[in-house]
Amino acid sequence: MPKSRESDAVIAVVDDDLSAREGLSSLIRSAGLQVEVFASAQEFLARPGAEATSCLVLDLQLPGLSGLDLQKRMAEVGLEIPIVFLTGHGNIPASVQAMKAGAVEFLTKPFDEQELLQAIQEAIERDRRTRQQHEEMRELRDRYESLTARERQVMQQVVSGLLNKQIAAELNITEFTVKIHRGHVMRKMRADSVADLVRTAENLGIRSLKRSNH
Amino acid sequence: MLVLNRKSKKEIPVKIVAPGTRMKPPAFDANESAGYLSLRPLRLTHLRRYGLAVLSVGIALGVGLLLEHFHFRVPSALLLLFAVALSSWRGGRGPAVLAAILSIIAFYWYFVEPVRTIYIYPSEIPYFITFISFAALLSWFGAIRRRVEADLREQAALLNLTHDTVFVMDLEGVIKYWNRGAEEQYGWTAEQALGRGVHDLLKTVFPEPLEEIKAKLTRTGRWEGEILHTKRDGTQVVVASRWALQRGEQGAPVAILETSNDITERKRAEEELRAAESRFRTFVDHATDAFFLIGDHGRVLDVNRQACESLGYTREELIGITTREFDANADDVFLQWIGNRLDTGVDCTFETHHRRKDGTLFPVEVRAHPFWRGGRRLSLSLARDITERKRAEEALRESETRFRTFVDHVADAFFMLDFEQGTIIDVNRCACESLGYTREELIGMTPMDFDVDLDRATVESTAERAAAGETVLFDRHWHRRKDGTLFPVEAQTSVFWHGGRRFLLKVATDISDRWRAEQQRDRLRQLEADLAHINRVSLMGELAASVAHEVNQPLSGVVSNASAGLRWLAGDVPNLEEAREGLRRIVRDGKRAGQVIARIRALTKKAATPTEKLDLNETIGEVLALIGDEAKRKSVIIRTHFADDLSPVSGDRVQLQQVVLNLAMNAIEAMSVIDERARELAIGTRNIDPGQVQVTVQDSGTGIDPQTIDRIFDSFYTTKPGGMGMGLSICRSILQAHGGRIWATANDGRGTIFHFTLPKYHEEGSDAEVAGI
Repeated sequence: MPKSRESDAVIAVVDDDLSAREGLSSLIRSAGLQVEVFASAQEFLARPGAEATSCLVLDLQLPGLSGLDLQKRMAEVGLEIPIVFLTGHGNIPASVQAMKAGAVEFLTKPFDEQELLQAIQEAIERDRRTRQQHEEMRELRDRYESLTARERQVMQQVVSGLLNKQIAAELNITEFTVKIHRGHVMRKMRADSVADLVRTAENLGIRSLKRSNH
Repeated sequence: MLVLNRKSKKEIPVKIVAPGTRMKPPAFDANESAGYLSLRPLRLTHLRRYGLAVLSVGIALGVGLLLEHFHFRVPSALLLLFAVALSSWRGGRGPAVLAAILSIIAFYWYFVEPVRTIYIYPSEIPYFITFISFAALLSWFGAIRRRVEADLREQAALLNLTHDTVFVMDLEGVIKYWNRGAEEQYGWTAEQALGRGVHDLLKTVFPEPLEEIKAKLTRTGRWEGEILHTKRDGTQVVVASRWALQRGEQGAPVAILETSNDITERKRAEEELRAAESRFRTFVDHATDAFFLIGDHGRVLDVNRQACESLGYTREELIGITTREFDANADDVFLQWIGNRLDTGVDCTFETHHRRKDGTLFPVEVRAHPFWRGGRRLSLSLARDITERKRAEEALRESETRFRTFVDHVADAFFMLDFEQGTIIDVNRCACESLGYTREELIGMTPMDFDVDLDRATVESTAERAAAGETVLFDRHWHRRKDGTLFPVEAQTSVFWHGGRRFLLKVATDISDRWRAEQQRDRLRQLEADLAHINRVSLMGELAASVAHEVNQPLSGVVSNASAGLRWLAGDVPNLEEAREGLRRIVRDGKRAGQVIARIRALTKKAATPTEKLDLNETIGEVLALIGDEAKRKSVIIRTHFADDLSPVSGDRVQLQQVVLNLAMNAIEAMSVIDERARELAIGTRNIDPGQVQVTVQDSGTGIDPQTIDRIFDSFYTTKPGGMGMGLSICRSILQAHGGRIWATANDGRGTIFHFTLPKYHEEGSDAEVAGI
């Protein structure tokens, strides 16, 4: 768990207003977090290794690319950084849109420090969780990658709920061979039970793959 | 001889009264008196006189003895007798007696035997008596002679006393006598003159040939005439000369006596008199006035040439007629009146008409001056043709009437004031009509009576300044009419001289119309100012959200920094450095918020702000700070192209910010519907020639229809649904008041560019006088 420690988290602040930037920077640093500040969305996007950021504190009104634009752009490129939106004045349509798009929080300036820090904490947590899920998925995918083609076929049949006999008939192999493959799949996929395997397959989207074949 | 000289006889009669009376001899010594008639004056004392007797007897005795010694038999008695005669002649009676006695004694002592004794023989008595008698006779002659000589001397001295020149010449003209008068007159002394030819000496110029004079002289014994002599110093004198011929015992001419007196002065005086008379006559004849010498009953005695010419008569025709014949107004009553006045010795001046010979009349001014000659009262009348003067007077009257009419029809009120008193002497009709007084009422009043803005001090200072040559202007004074109502005037006062007196001329122009127009203009200006204010307030309303944001930003920063600061301090080891930094930022942000609010307040304030020297970049920057959030929310990017070396301008900060605000807000709004291209608001400043600064506000909005681009600055022209149509109109008013202008152009098919110019700031008084908008 590399991101579990708070001090490792990097918070990016994007605000075109210097006062706001500096105030935010000081506040966040006082909470023991690392801060990087940007005056515009473009500046932030141009930063190499933006994906390392744990939380984005983003002003809604930015010259050029606005806060919502940036959120959209990040979603498009698969940059999943939890965003805490800040705005100078309450803008309900904008806040709804932001929240729908997965914003952590939508705060109106001047905001309460606790609310902001809490939101940042939540964002960090969410980021941590996201990163964890990504890790698990990658492990599952690695396991799945280690299966042979026949084993993937057998796995697919198994999670589809077919019996060994049905699988053997379907694949035109002996039932015994099916058992051998099934044993390999269970071991490689580190599945304790068929139910476990089914859930894993679900995470990998295998069942949906089969369904689409229908 | 003296008898010839009448003049000297007249002049010195007293001195000549008693011939023969012993007079004091003239004081001149023997050396000078070597004249023809001058005799050696004897001023011997008794001693000398008696001494002479003794001496002469002694000499005679000596001579006699000497001759005897050489045996010349001479009658010694004769010698002694001679000595007696000499003593008698020179010494007088006393010395003669003495000489006689001495001679007798000496004769008896030396010559009569027995010598060395004095014994008179009876036989010698006859000789003795003869000698005595002879001596007595000689003495008597001597005495007579002496008396005659003395008389002659006195007479000759009298000749010297006269101032006339008297000299005697012989027939050849050789000077024989020359008196003191001649010496003084001609400069030659008697010694120098005697023996010289008189005509040579004096370069005589005769009025007729000398021969004729001599002939006349010979014939009559006299000649008189004026001759010209030249003095020793060369000056010429005219003398009246009288010549008398002196004849000898036999009646033959021997000498000529010439008596003269200097008449040069008299001649000159006569000349001058003649010249003066001639001059006077010329003067009178050339006088432009006609002279009439009038005698009894108005009869003309003499006239000058002008009188003849003016009346057309000859002098001869005029002399003898009466004034009635050419004076058209001369009737009995008039002549009586004139006569009475002149009789009292008073000059009379009157105007009348003279009639020429041809019957035409002309006006004259006559001055009659009475004077008396030989008991008669005469008068000298000077008649001056006053046709021209009459005409000039007529012309003057006409001109005056014309001028009066002119002045009366002028729309300004004229007041002519006495300089010292300050009272009104005359006014024109406008003055009466405007104030509601009659001319008679106004005359005698002072301007203070109706000019409510005047006081004594102002009146005095005005007079002083006017006297110094200034035209004193009061651009608005209030005049009160007789009915009490007031009206404004512009008055100017200046001084002028007339007839040696100083006057003040005050010209007052009724400026009621102008004043009303000014009032209206003021009201209109106020209205415009109000409208401009409304425009600003409404702009602020539109900008409320943006403005709130602009205040909120720094406030947010303040809160963040303060919160952070508390946290920095709350730790186990307070981070003072961070806390201090935070506090600094709080101060900065607080100020920033305050500035925003101050700008808003300035922009929404109603009162006019003063004209000042402005940096337009900064002025525009402050506006941009206010609309920044508005632009962001409308996704408008603001770009500025500010010239670093932009010249300052002179103007009203709030008004110019209002212009920029209007233009920027319009631009943002114009771009609100644009999605296919960037929404860009570009504001630029730059210096342009000559002496101007130009600002451009460029948007990428919908642009303006070229057909209406000229109308956009008109009032109430708007393309916006909620617009008043005042913004651009106000912008134009503001810029015009600043001496600048505003116009719009299309931005290359995509949007509009607004341009405005302002004159550069001049150190010498911000000449762009900003009217209160």
